[in-house]
Amino acid sequence: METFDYIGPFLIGFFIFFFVFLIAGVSFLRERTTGTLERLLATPLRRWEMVAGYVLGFGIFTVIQSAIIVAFAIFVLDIMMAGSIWFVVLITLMLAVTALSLGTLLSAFAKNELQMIQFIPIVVVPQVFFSGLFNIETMADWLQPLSYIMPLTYGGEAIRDVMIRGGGWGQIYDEVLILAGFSLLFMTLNVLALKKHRKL
Amino acid sequence: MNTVIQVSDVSKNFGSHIVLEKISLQVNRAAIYGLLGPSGAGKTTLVKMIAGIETPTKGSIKVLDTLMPNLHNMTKIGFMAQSDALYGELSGKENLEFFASIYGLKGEKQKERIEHAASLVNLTEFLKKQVHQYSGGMKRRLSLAAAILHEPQILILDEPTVGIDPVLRQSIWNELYKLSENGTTILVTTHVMDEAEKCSQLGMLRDGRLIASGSPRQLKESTSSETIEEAFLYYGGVRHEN
Ligand SMILES: Nc1ncnc2c1ncn2[C@@H]1O[C@H](COP(=O)(O)OP(=O)(O)OP(=O)(O)O)[C@@H](O)[C@H]1O
Ligand SMILES: [Mg+2]
Repeated sequence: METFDYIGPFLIGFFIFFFVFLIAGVSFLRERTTGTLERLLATPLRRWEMVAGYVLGFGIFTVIQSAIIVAFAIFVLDIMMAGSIWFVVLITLMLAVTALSLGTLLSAFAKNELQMIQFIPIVVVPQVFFSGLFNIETMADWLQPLSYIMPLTYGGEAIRDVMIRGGGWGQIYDEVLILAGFSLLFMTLNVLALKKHRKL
Repeated sequence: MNTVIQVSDVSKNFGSHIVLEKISLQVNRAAIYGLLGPSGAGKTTLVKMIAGIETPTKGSIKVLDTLMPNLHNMTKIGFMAQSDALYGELSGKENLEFFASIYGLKGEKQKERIEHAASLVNLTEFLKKQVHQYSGGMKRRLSLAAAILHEPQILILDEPTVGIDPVLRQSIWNELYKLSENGTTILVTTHVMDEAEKCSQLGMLRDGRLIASGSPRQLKESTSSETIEEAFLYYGGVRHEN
């Protein structure tokens, strides 16, 4: 097994997380800066409907994106693939939804696109170090628990389970559920964050 | 009930900055109520609170006898923001379809309403164009069309005719009259004095206070002024002397 086979699965997760986080964050932010968010708040749409609508709408694109990235990695880059490709697509999709909900949530705290980009070193880069690409046991003890709050830890681990160890649903369901939990949490927080704009 | 909008003792601060102070006003059914005031007077802040997007710091706002913000009421309000809130990547038609579907307009009905609203603002032939290629005035007109799509009982327009030429401005006002004759209550902000004359009721806003209200005629007569502008200056001056 080559190094690339080992980091490949992680890279798949990382790229998906990175792009979806940024694109979703920037476009939700633009919704606010161009005034369309406020315009929507003047309609009878509920806050949760807006957040869910965003996740669903973008979700369609992320399905396609996940499929393309995974197919590229496996068929073009020829990364080792021990398990089923469909599990990989499922995991990357959950990871994308997590990134999507986190991006839209954090965009509430950015004033412009540049500030959104500033979230990358805070949110995305640490995940590279804490999500299992590097050996976590060699890190300072107090830093190690941080890996538990990083979505990429679970996404990367699950992808590796499937691609390298040929794992199935039994190996990945806990990580998939945790990612779903992250998504729900971020979406709920986003619904609450929108309260700043309209109480209802 | 005849009172459609009831603003009672409303104050609004942003942090320590007091933007509106003890505003009370009422708008009756089918009135065209104009909020007149210089830039920064607090017009936008007030209409946003009435539309339910902002909440007052003190006081209360009732629309159709229901405390705002209220989601059910929002279906009955059409709101046109001061800054055009449109999706630039979408065509004019797609923008209108989006807003129409939020209000549950579907199929034939949706098509019919979009055609009507677009022809009203003279945009029919530009509907296929992407909105980022629109001129400022075209965007204004599209925003107006989006606000009237669902035939709201109450229309709140924040400076609707900025950047619109006099001919079209007149035709938009004619439509507002028509809507008001059919029972639509209209609240419009402006800082153009000649537009104020067109309203049935006026509220003059200055530095966050309502300095005068009444019909344009009443306001002119009670200050023995020839124009609304003079009346406005009169009320503004009175406050200065105090
Ligand atoms: N979100 C906000 N945070 C802080 N201050 C605000 C906010 N919105 C408005 N203001 C302040 O409230 C005051 C009134 O603003 P508003 O937009 O209501 O004025 P306006 O009468 O609509 O002016 P214009 O005719 O220029 O549109 C201004 O001094 C403005 O700086
Ligand atoms: Mg304004």
